[in-house]
Amino acid sequence: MIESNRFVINKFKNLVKETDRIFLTKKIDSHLPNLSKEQGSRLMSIFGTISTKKCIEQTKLILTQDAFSGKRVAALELLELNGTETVVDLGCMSGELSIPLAKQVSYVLGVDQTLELLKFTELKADEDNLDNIDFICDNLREIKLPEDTFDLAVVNGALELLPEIEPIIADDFLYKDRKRKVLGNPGEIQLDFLRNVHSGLKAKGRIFMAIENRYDYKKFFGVKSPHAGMYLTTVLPKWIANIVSRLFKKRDYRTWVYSFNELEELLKKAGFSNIQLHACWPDYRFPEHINVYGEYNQYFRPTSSRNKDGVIKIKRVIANRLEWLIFKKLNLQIFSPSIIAIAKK
Amino acid sequence: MILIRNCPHENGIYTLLGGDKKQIIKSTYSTDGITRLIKEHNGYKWYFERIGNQEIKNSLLINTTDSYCRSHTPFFCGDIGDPYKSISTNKKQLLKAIDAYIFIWPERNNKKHCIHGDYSIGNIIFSKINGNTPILIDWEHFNKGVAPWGFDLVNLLYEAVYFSFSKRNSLSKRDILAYVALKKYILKHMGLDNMICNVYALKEFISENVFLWDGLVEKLPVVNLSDIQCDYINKIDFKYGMNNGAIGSV
Repeated sequence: MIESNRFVINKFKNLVKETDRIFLTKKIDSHLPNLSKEQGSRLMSIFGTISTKKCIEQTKLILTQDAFSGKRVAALELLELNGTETVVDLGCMSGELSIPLAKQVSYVLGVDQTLELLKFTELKADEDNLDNIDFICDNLREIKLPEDTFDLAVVNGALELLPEIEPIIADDFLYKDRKRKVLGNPGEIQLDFLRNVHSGLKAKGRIFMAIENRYDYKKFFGVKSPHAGMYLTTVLPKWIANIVSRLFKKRDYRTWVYSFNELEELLKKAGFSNIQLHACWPDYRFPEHINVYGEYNQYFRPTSSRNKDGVIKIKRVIANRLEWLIFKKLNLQIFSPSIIAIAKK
Repeated sequence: MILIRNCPHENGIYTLLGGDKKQIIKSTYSTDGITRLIKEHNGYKWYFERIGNQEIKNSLLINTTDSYCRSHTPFFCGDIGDPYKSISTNKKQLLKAIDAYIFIWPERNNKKHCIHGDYSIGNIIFSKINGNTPILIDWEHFNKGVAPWGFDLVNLLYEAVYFSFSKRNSLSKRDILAYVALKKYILKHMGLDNMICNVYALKEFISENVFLWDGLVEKLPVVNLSDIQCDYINKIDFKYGMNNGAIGSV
C-alpha cells in the first residue's frame, strides 16, 4: 500500500483494521448479498483455495450474469477519466467496478456492508497486484464521508436498495414473503445519502450513478420488478404500490426507483448540477448500448431475435420488434430499462 | 460519448463512439483484451498501409498500460452484410468480399501471408469513401506471416456454408450452386494452396494454429462444422472437381 494514499482512510473516524485493506466501523452481521445462504456458504468454502474467477464459475451463482458481469464496467468510459482521480465506490460488492477503476485511477475506496464480500474483493485486488485500493465495511446509510475528499463517487445499483434494512438475499427476497422492519421514508433516506455523497466530493467532483428506470418498457409487458418481486409496482404511484406490496408480499414497498425527470430532480435537490442523463440497454449491470438521453438513437440495436445458439425464438422476435418500434422508430427513451446519471458537485 | 458495443466474444472490450472527431474508442481491462487491441491496432496499420491511406494510418492511436488499454480508430459509415443469411442470398456480397481480398492482399506466392482471422461479410464495410475500397474492420485476430494466401477467403466461404446448413445436414440446391460458383471463382483466378484447399485441410490447418485466435477458436464457424456436414461439402467438391487447389483445376 502506498502510504500517500492512506490519507483518505485516515480521514474517517473510529475505524478498526480488520485485514490489510479492510477497515470496520463496527461488526455488522451480514450475508452475501444477491446470494442465498446456501450459495454464500458454498462460495466461502472454496474461497481462497482457487482464483476468484474460478470461484464464481464453480459455484454457479444465480445472477452471475448480473452481479459479476464484466460488462458492467463499460459505462465508466463515459466519465473519460484522466487517471489522477480519488474515487469512492459506494456499494462496491465484489468489486466489479472498483477493481477496474483501481487499474485506471490513483486511488479507490470501496464501501460495502458485507465483510465476506469485501474479503473476496480484496483477494481479487491481490490477484491483480493492485496497491491503491482500500475497503470500508459499513452501512451506506450510516457512513459519514469526510468532506472535500473525492473526485468521483460511484453509486452503481445501490441507491434503490438503501431503504432496505436487512441485507438483500436474492432467493428469500424475490421469492418468499418476509416481514421486514421499517425505517423512515425511503425517499428521505436516499436523499440524505446523496447529500452525504455531495459533501464528500471535491469542488469539481462528480457522481456516477446507475439505477433501474421506473418506467422500463418491460415492466408494462409482464416482467416483475427485480427488487419488489411484483408486477407493475414501480409504475404505480408509490402509495398504491405500497398497499399492493403489503397485500401480496406482506411488506412495504421501499426499493424506490426513479424516472429520468425524477432522478434529475432528486440529484438537484441533493445539490448536484450539470446533470447528464444516459439511457441504457438492456440493463446497467450488463450494458450493451448507452445513449445520451434525448438524443437521436442512431446506433441502437434491438435484442437479437436469435438466442445464443443462433435459433430464432418467438419471445425474442416480439421483444426485437417492440424495441425497434419504441426506441428506434419513436425514440421514446423515457421507457429505456436503465438510467446512468453523471452530475457535478 | 455513447456505448455502442460491449464485450464482443466476452473478452472485455468496450466499443464507444465519441470524442472531438467522430471516433471509435475501444477499451479493455483484461490481459486478453489488451493483446487483442494491440493486434487490432497492428492490423489496421497494415491495412491502411496496403490501401495507401497514410492519413488514416497516422491518425490511429493506442494507449496501453499493463492493466488498461484504449485505442482510437476513425469511424466509418456504410453497409455491412449479415453473415447469418444463406450463401445464395449473400452471393453478391461474398463475391465483392472475394474481390476485396484479392485487391488488398499482395499477389499469391509461396510465402506465408498475414490473416485477418475473422474475414466475414459482417466485418467489411462497403462505402463510397476511399474510392470504393471496402473497409475491413475487427482486426482482433490479425497475425503476420502465418498462413498461405487465401486463408481468409476459404474461411469466408465455409462460414457462409456453415450458416446455410442452419442445423440441417444438407444444403438447398441454390446454396450448392452458389457455393460451387464462388469456389470456382477463387480457384479459376488465383487457385489455392493445398494446405487450405478443402474443408478438411482448412480444419486441420486451424487446429494446428489454434494459438492465432487466442483461445477463441471455437467461435470460428468452420470449426463447428460437424463431420457429416464436412463429408457433405467434400462430396460436392469431388462432384464438381474442386478438391484440388491448383489454378484452373476446375
